[in-house]
Parts: sequence; structure tokens; C-alpha cells
Amino acid sequence: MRDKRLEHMREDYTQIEIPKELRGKVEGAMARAKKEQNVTAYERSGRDGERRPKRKAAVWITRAAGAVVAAMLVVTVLANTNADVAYAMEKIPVLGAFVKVVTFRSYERKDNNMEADIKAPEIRVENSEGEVLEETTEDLNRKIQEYTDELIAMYEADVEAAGGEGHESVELDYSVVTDNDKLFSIRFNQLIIMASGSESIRIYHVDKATGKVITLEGLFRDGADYVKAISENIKEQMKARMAEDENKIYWVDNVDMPELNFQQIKEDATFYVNETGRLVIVFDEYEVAPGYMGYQEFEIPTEVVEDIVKEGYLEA
Amino acid sequence: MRQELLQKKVEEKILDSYEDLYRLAYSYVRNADDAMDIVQESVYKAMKNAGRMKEEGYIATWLWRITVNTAIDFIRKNRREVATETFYETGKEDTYADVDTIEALEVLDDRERAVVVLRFFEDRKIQEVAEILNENVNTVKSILYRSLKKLKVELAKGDALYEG
Repeated sequence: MRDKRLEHMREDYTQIEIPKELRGKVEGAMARAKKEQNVTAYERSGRDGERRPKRKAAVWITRAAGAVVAAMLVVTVLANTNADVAYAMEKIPVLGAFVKVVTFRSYERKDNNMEADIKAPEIRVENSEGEVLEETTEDLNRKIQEYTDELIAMYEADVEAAGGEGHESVELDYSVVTDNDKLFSIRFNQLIIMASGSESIRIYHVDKATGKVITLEGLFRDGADYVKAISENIKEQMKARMAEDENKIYWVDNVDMPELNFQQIKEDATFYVNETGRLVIVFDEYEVAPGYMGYQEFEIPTEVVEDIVKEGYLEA
Repeated sequence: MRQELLQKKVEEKILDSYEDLYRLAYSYVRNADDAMDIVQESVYKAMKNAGRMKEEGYIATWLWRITVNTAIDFIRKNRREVATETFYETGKEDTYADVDTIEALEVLDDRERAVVVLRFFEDRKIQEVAEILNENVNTVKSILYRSLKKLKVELAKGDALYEG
């Protein structure tokens, strides 16, 4: 329920009186701007004419190097072209026999006070004979690419909109978080700093038994209501954490802004399986709590889902 | 050609919304003269830069953004001169009750105030507020949450004063 006093305040706001002379002043300001505009119109149209055509939003630098290097941006290319680098990267994550990081791509750009540094791997999924499983390999790489393209497009749109005045930093890095008999999971940490920062996490999984990319749903039996079971447990954990420590706030049972309250996890919620074999659900910063809380993880006790989880993915 | 068209659109939008822009400015400075100055300056900036707009659909967002920034600049330059003392002068409730509630916005910082005014008073969608302030949607949610909490505490104080 809304607070009455807040409603009263909003009422008062709408009744702020508009001075009679305002309209005249507004018209005057518009006329002044137009008059000055005419004087500088030549200059401007000249400059506009030179503006480079809008690029397709998310071109990897490696693909279109020559076309995109404008005077003000510094670009580093560090990718497939360099076999040594790709080889070095392959060594870094500890990978299972079936899924390999074969190369990686990097998008780096700096425009005044705005910068982006986005790293993304290319994955290869193989069966035990070493044959490439094309479908899964493509599927996974496409998902990763869509994700990074989206991020780059957002960054480039912000650069355009800011007209050289923006402050923004976009970083994306990845690591392999799970690589056991059942699952291979690769995690992306995204950090965007504008006026304030925001952290976001995505994790992609390959089911080693089937060689397919799977989401949370795939861990559970068909038709099982895992969303509800997990969500209810998370709500309990939120309340318990809040009761235990008054500095912790989660958006749960909040009467003032019910639209913010955590209702339930998404069907394809971000998750991973930790070292002890338990399911961990991950929320981005701000998703279920105020920003100072950072991103949030909830380990789900296996008994909560033991009746519905498929065999082999989780341990009690 | 395109520029003239854009300018025309911006002009229409200004005439359509200058009263709303005025209220926003007023909530920052709480006096008519300064609020009018802010609106005038914002309108001038908007018209001068109309040609730099990328998309027509963005005009409203952009107008709000300019006005918020102009108001914040103004208030930063004149921080000490903004009057807050008027409220103690007389005991007439009907006129003063109104001023009080708007005055409660004082407890918010510049950004929090913009979020509350845009979302709560002007009924802008969270997504739009985020665009206006060049912020992440979730950041806006969390600012809104914090601000409404602060405001409720402040408004409750006011009530206690009347009752006591």
C-alpha cells in the first residue's frame, strides 16, 4: 500500500502553480536559439556531412579492422590471427576432455572517458573420439556471440549518445567454473561502470552426457516445478539473512514497492554447481537487492529439489 | 532539411511539456524566478542542439535530461542561496501544508530527487527514468527504494510536528 503522505506530496507537486509569464519566456528562448542557429548552420552541416556512416552495431574489430578505426579511438587487435596467443589461452583454463576453449576474441575500444574491454572464447565440443560436435559447438558459440554482440552494441550506442562526453567502462571476462563428469560450465563476469557500477553474471553449460548446451530446466525432470521449489527456498534464505544481519536488505515482502519484490527465479536463471555438488543460483547486482549488496548467490540445499532433479547432477 | 524537421519536433515537444519541466525545476529551487530561468536555459540548449539528436523518439527523454542537468547545475552553483526558512514564518496551515511536503524533497540528493520526481510525480516508467539519467534500470530501482524510504521518515517527522 502506498503511503498516504507520499500521495499527498504528489498531489502538492501537481499543484505547483505555473507563472503566467513562463510561456512567453519559453518562446523567447526558442526564438533566440533559432536565430543563433542560423548563423552557425553552415559550420554544422559541413561537419555532419563528414560523419562516417553508422556502422552495423556489433562488428568484431578483428573482422572489420580497417573500416572502424576512426581518429579518436584506439584499437588493439589480439585474436585468432595470432596462433601463439590462442594457444596460450587454451592452456589457461583447466578443461575436460570434451570441451575446449580453442581461441578467443577480444574487443577493445577507448573513446575519451569511455572504454570497453570484452573478451570472449570460442569453444569446441568434442566427443570421446575427438570428433567435433558441430551442433553444440555452434549453438554455444552463437549464444556467447549474441551475448557479447549485445554488450558491444550497447556500448557503441552509449558512445554515440554521449557525443564524447560520456563516462563508462564495460568489461567482460570469463572463466570455467565447473568441469566435472556431468557438466562443463563457463562463466562470464560483466562489469559496467557508469555513474555507478553494475555487475552481471552469465554462465553457459554443456551437458557432457548428451553433448548439448543446457539451461537450468535441463537439470530437472520434465514438467517438474523447479521454479517454485527453488524460489520458495530462496525467499526463506533472504528472510533468514535479513533477520540475522540488519545491514542486509533483499527485496522480499516489501510493502511500499511491491513491484520490486522478488517473486520467482526465471526458468533459465543463472546457476552453477559448486565443488560440493550443490546447486547455486546467481543474481546480478540490483536484481534482488539494493546495489550495495553486490551480486548475490544462494546455495540450494539438495533436499529441496531431490524429488525432481535428474540423477547425477547434484549431490546431497 | 532533416535538422529543421527535428528542430520543429523539439519545438512542439517543448510547447507540449514546458509546464512539466517547470515543476521539475521548481522542485529543485522552490522559487518561481529561478525555476523559470532553468526552464528558459534548458529550452535554449535543447533548441540549439536539436540537430544532434539521433532519433525522434528520444526527444522527450532528452528534454528531461537537459532540464534535470540544468537544474542540478543551477543548484550546485547557488547551493547556499536556496531559501529554506520561509516555512516558520506564520502558522497558517492551509497554505503551508503544501509547501512542507515538497520541502521534504530536501532530504534527497540531486539524483534521488530526480528519480522521485520523474517516477513518482511525473509517472515516467523506470526504463525511461534510467534513460533520462543515463543510469542502469536497476540502479534507478534501488535509488527509488532508498529515496522513498528517506522521504517517509521525513514526512512522518512533519506530521509529528503538527500533532504535537
